[in-house]
Amino acid sequence: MLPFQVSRIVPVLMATLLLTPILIAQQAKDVPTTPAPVPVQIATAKKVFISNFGIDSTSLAKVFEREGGQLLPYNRFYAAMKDWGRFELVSSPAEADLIFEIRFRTPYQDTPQLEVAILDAKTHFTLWRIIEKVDAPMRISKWGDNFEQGMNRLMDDLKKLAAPPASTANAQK
Amino acid sequence: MHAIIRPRFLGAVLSATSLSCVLLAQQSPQPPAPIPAQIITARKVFIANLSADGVYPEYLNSIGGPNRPYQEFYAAMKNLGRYELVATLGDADLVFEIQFRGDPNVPIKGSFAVTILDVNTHFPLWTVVEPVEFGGRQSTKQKNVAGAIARLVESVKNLAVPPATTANPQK
Repeated sequence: MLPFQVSRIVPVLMATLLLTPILIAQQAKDVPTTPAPVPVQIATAKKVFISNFGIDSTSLAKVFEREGGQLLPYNRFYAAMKDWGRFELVSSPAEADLIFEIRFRTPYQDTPQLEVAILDAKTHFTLWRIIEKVDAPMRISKWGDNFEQGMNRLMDDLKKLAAPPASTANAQK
Repeated sequence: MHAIIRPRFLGAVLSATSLSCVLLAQQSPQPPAPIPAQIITARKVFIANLSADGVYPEYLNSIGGPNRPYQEFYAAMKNLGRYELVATLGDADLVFEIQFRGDPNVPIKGSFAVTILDVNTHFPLWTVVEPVEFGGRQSTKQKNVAGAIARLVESVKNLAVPPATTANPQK
């Protein structure tokens, strides 16, 4: 009985092993090689208003009290944007080409995260969203380091997005 | 032995202290990012009641219904007197949206949030959040709500009358 079962299973296994690489190769071919375009407004915008969207996580209220208050995400993001110098930071949405909404939140049963939503100032539509996790540390004293790392990754993402290579800077036409 | 260690120890403490002072001066925190000028210059405000986000509806019922945060906040803003509270959006310079937000990660507390919107562009300029612990007894619940709303209004007050250094526009 057992040898019969094995003799049935072995060909099935062999076929699976042979077919899998072929299927994976076919799927890889289906993935588009050229990246989807970044909205042209992000590449061409000059003036940005930074909106403080606050902290959505009451669970971390005490940590923010300790680490510089609930303005920490806004203050750090603003300073990083100013240092970068890519955009002129304006004082009202009416003057801006884009609105950057900076927010810190903890999704349900998930890791806390920094989010920047990029909105078109004319149409109010959201064009893009960048999310970077802020890992919860084992010790609360390390939380500030993790926050800084998250903010640095967020800025790296934004720099890649707003200064894309020529091939991806095309408009969504 | 004691006499030998003491001066050495004191010297080490003094040098560590002065070094800390130098390092602290070098790591002086960046100036706070600016508060949008509209918040400082605005005079007329419309308060919108966004009630709750629906995470803990039973909590709002236990403190007097879904309009409790709005009523409490409206009364406190009126007492503050910093802004004229207007009846229509057309008369306002800013819109303040008051809302209770539950936090599904922490079932014993939530927060009251005020989002300040530019009336012309409708974009949010700022958000102030104050956590509130639910509390068990009715008296504790009422005390916690009043305390959180008072802190929220205090934050709005500090925002609207900031120190001269943070009152500059975002430039």
